[in-house]
Amino acid sequence: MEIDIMRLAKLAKLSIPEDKVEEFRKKMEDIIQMVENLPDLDTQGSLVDPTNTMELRKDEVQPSFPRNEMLQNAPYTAAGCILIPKVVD
Amino acid sequence: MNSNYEIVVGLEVHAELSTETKIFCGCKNEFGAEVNTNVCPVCMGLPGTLPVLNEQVVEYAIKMGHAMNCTINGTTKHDRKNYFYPDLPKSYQISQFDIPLCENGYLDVLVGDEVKRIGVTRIHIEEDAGKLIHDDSLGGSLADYNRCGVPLIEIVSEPDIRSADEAKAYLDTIHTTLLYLGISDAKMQEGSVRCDVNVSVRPAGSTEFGTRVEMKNVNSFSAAHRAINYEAARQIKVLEEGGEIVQETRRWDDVKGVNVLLRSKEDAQDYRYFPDPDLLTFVVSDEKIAEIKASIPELPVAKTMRYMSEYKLSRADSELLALNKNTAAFFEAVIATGKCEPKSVSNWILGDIYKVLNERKCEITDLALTPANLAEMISLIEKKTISNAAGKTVLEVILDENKDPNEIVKEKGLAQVSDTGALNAIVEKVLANNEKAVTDFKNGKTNVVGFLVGQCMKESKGKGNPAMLKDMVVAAIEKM
Ligand SMILES: [Zn+2]
Repeated sequence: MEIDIMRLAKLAKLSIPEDKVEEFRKKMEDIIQMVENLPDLDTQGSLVDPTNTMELRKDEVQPSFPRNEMLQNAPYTAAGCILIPKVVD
Repeated sequence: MNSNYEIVVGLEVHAELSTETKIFCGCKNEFGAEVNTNVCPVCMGLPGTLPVLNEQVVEYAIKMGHAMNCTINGTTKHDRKNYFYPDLPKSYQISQFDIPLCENGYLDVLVGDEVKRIGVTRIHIEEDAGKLIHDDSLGGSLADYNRCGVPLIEIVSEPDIRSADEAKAYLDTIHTTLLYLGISDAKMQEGSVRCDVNVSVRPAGSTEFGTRVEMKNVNSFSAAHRAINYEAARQIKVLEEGGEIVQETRRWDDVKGVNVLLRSKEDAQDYRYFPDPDLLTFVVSDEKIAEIKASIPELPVAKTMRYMSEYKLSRADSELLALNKNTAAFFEAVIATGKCEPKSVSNWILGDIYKVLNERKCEITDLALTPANLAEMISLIEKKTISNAAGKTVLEVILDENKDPNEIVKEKGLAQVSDTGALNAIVEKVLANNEKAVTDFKNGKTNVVGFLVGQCMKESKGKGNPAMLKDMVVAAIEKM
């Protein structure tokens, strides 16, 4: 299987230096090889399983998480928000 | 628009559902809250958390599915749509890929006086992303995740739309339908309803589709109208100059009235959908689906058509009445009393009452006015007990007070004078004071009779019977 490591890097927003491309390509190939070795699951064309379904939740408000604690997960914060590098699309 | 070409439009509409809580966690679904206060580990996508689907979201989405004549897939699942963007902390959006909750429907919309049927490919449920606030002073962007996990339905149309006007009619109909069903507050200015527009053109008469271009950042329905016309004209110009349309995504700039290239096909996102392993299959029983269907009220387009055929109202009046759920219910309640003509009821609601609603920026249900009082007032006019002018006086009172119109007529002495003796005295006085008008009438300017009757009405303080006064004025002048 041909792996376009630069395309994967682009999708994942990762920058990979030129001299590392070969190394990552090899690693990725190993990962895919490992997955290919897993036994096939018969999905019969669809992955819905009516014999194993989930219970839905009532539309009732539960307390949210305290903001100051939540923001402790972020390296930079400002004005109650997570501060991130400027994005323009 | 160049008539050698036909425009083909498909629309993807996202609408936020007005549930109490988010789609997969118990955080409040609320617009305008203090930043990052309605967040929890689930909607922030922290490792080790598990989403649990909100049953109200499923019910609301099925409602919309029924309103758009869809098949409901009672057994379905969720899929992950993967993309990196900082408004999406999980780096994937929980959506639905190959088995949408609703599919293969249609929506009938009114374009001019024609009914146009627009196919609905699918309606699926998914979660909204957060909001980025760009702030140059901080040298970065601020992420507010309150909107992460707010429930959305995405409604995808077939490429059945053939003009900007049809697109506008389709979007307006979706908007009123959301409000009728009470499943979304549908506020464009708060971004509760958003749309992506796909446009292509083809030679008139061709059955093959041209290459389509997707437009993002279309933030209002009127912007959609402008964006479609702009993009169609741009494509036609390219083709006329011998060029080729390429598949791409463009960004609409409504202020400048132009669009610019956002990304080409080569840069198209690859969302790598796969079934979400955190969420199992979910099943909605046939009974539940039927129960939801039975709860769907008569919708605006059906109402408009019925008002036209049943009450012989004009298309424009019928639509205005049907557009607002509260106004339509009020109108129907007045008709149900059987006391007055639908046409008069429509005229009062769309005339004097609408003026008040606009001035006060409120809904008809915010007034003290009851259908029974309005019906009684109109019937008093129709029975010629009071004049139209006296009706306006009564309306002023019953708008803000629940009071029997008969009482008001008695208290204010508004009953119409039909006594010939009393009216004759008024006519004589008015004719004596308006010699010029009388002469004009004699010289063939018969339309001055309106002026003279108006003077008589004024003289009678609005109590005279205008039809009688008119006959009496004409008879009196002819006798002169
Ligand atoms: Zn949450």
